Amino acid sequence: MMRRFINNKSALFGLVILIILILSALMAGFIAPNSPTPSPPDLHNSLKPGFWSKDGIQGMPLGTDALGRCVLSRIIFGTRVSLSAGLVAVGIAMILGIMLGVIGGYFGGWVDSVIMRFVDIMFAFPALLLAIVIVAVIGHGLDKAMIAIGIVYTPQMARIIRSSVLYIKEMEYIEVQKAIGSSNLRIIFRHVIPNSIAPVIVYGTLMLATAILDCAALGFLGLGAQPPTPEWGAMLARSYSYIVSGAWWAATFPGLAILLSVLSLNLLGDGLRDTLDPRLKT
Amino acid sequence: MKWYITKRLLMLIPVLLGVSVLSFLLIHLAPGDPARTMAGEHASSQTINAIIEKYGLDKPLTTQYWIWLKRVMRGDMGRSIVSNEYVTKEILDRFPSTVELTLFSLMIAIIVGFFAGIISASKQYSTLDYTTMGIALFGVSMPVFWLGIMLMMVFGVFLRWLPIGGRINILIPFQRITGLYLLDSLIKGNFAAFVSALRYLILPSITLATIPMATIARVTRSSMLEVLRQDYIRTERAKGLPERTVIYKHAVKNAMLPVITVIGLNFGLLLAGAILTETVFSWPGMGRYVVKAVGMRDYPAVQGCVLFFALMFVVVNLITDVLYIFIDPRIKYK
Repeated sequence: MMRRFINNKSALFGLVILIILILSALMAGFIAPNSPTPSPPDLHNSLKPGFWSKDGIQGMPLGTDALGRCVLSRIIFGTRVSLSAGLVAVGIAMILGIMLGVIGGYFGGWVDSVIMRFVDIMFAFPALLLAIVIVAVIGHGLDKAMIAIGIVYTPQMARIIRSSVLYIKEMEYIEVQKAIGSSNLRIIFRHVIPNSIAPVIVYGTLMLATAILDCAALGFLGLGAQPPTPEWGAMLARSYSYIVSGAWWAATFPGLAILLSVLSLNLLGDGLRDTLDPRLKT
Repeated sequence: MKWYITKRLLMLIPVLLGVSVLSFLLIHLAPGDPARTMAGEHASSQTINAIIEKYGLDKPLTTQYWIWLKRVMRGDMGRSIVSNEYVTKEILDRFPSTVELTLFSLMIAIIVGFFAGIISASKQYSTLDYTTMGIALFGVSMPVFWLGIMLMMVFGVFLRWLPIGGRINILIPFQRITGLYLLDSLIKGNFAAFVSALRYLILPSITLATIPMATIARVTRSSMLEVLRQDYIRTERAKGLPERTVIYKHAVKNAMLPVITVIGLNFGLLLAGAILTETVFSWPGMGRYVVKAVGMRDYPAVQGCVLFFALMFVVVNLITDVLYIFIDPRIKYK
């Protein structure tokens, strides 16, 4: 199985990029040449170009933003913000989704119907819109955006888990457990959840990609991370009006960072799916 | 089939009820007193009392819900806190521009995505196949808002080929009829307005089309590959039919079903993408409206948008499901 994964070049490429991103998130303080949020802002160095220009500013390879802050350093620190925001959001979705999916799938009956109708209602909204609505209720901010996205992704997770629980609960080993008198709780935690975890990992990886994208989108709309947090979406929102005056770098690089991290997770997720569950291969 | 459509319509009732409860509760879940929330921050106590009276905010929650639902059924979703206009009117004003943007984008996405997928599949493992699928992979990972900004930067700011925001050149005389500017200008035979509206539409719709285009290309390819492996395709090739006929007359038809599913599923993404695209290009549609409403805590407007968006989404899903029966007669619904 491991070999099949390693032979998948694009998945390996995704994994390598992801590792680089994780490392830069962990060691942001060491790698970043400058502080992401210097105070007071250095307005003399506002929107200076980087290494590609003769007038490029020293020590800030990707130039500066409108407040004279180093774009590269902010992107590196932004890795930390975006990756952890995505992880928290997917974590919330997994915990809630596993709970709902296992309860619905294992016990069936009216409990299942209620949960699934509720899931249907949540599916009646486009994901980003639902996240925006939740943010409208609980307030703006990065922490709230993560919660909102976690809630929005719960129904998908619940459906995935439920379908694999429905399959597993008919297996003979579950019947054996019931016959020897194991409690439902024991069966669920020792047997049902561990055996339905493979699709959770695959979809969790793919979900992490969209979670990062949606978190950045909320940041871009001004509903997620608030300044001065170095968050990629918010960085874009604050600098794209300056492209009219020719300062393209402050808006270009944060977006590239989003693209790269989402791409790497998509490659990895597709690779994991092909390895863990070849039937789903597209 | 009639029975299936009826059943599918009946299934909508609980979903729509749930959606209505959710958007009704929005104002009550928001921090603070609902009457004050509806009246806006600086309202006088008189206004607040009037609102409590009008919406029955002193009555039990279930009664309030019925009062609210009856109002909404009549098309009255209250007034916006910001503009003091009727929310229904504000939404209906903006609805056509979102429709024009999403439909135009969907059209681009379907045409380009579908053909890219077919070509990729019929030349599997060729350089062309790898390039197309590589681009598609980038496409599905693309942050829509960033793509919009990049297109705007290259074609609007640096090359100055296309305008970077708005819907039409305001200096051109133009009469609004349906609100779909391309259609309106065609009805009036106003060629200058048509060209202008088209120019303003190009960048936003390419931005919005990219993700669904990439998804459609990927799904079309894999579905085509599956069909091309079938025995009847081999038979057709064996009896000497030209490759064109095999692919475009026989394979494509059978490969279409999963593509339709994915187009239906993508509609939600398209609406979400419209929210971002409209914000980037100052496109005066519902997406930009809902973002502004949330930013200003204009709850009646948010409520209206939520209902409207959900309704659109649900109706499109219904249409997709019904389309199946026409496209694939093998599917029998009881």
